[in-house]
Amino acid sequence: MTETTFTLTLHANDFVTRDMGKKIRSSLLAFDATAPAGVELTIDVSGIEVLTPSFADEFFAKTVVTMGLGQFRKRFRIVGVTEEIKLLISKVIKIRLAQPVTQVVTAEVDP
Amino acid sequence: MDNSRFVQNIPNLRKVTRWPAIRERLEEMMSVFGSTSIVSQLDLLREVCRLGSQYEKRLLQDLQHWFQVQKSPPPEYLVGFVAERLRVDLRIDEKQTGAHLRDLSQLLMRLERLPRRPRPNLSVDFNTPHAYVYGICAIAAWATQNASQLTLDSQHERVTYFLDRAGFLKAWSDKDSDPVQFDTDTILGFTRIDADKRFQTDAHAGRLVELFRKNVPDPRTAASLSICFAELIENAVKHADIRNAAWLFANYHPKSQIMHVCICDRGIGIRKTFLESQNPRLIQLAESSGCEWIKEASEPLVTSKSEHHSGYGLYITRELCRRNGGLFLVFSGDAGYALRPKTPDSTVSEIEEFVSLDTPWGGTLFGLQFHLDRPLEVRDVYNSLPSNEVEGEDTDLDLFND
Repeated sequence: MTETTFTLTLHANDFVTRDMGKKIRSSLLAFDATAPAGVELTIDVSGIEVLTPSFADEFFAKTVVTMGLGQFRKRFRIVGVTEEIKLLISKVIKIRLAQPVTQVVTAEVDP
Repeated sequence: MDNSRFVQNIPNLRKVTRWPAIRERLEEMMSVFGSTSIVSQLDLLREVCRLGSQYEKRLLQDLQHWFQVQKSPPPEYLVGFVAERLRVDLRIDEKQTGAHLRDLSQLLMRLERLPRRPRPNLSVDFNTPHAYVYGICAIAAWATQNASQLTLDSQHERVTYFLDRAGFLKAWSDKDSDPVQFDTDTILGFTRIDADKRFQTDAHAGRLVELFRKNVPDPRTAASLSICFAELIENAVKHADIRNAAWLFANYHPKSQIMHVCICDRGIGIRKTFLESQNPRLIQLAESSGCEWIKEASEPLVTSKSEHHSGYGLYITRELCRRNGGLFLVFSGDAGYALRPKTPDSTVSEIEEFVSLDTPWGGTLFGLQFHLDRPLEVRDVYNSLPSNEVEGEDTDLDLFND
């Protein structure tokens, strides 16, 4: 059976640094590339107590900018978020989306 | 070791022993002792330091270098001699431990004025029964970069006792020791952020907060502290371009329910990161005189690395302090800034102060004070982030399944 859930806690123990955000973003994009087209995928954030703005920006916001908000929305649903983390993720995505095009990261993905 | 070989190994010693005055004195000593080999290396060195005082620093530097390149451990009496000659005393009085912007600026300038070539043996005397972590953190960072040894020699033993219990000197001198240390009795914890192990620092903030967990039972407060610690560490590692270890200290006072936190690095400083940015406004600020530019580092979404970073860390830290009636201090280069409450009972901090440092601090220091009996809600800070929404305020991105 094809895996349709990307569980963050299976990919790292802490969600603090930009480096970690970048690393897991690469894994998420690889997961997206190998999953069947047209299937809705889930990003499971449950079980995370501390998630920093830097991590959220690097992992969520840059993924949204890379894929485009519409495409991200069609492909992914984020589940298991606390109100606080939901607020943070929404904020960092909106801030990234509001930045000028020249400041937007296009395809900064590790090999 | 044969004295003639010893002399040959140390270039400045070789040079100075050719001086007629020193040569004459040494020959006199040799005649008294009866043979060249009887003149001890220590006597030789003491005599050279006395007669050729202008060569002493270079001589000691040579010896330090020689200790490093020797395959076997250098003789203890020589190490002791060098440490004794290089001893630099720093006496810290109560005010200078850094409770206030101006007091801490005095300590930072005193540290920067200490001799650093050859690397001194810094002996710190805490002439005070209480020391804030701000001063201790600054000393740890300065000494990591500049000193060959660090000793604590306190008139009041309380501060030294606290630092001993927490294992500070071991962590300072032994890079292989656990970088996160905590003492449950004194509720003092710290982490050493090694420049060459920066990718292992991810969990330090979490570990440190976990150690304080017993004293910070409220999970939301603990989470806010974790985020704050983590962002400060990230900031030091990513922006400051540290070559030597940075230090983060935290100390909780149960009676007053106040936590003091300090992170100090010896990196490139905020002004240089502004100058190296591609942001014309930051460059203009960094080129301006005065010290108000330093405040900009903690404004929302200000970052020197606009393409990859968003400048959340310092703003969130400052806002947590402000909304908690706490203290937010930052020093970098020739400027210092504080955001503090009007009175100790004020629940919001709105008084701003600036200070100019005649002798610039070669790095960056952030000092924080939190009241843990008051709300420490990172959620409120997230709400205050200016998101410049394109689709209107409170737009639901429709990304979440509850």
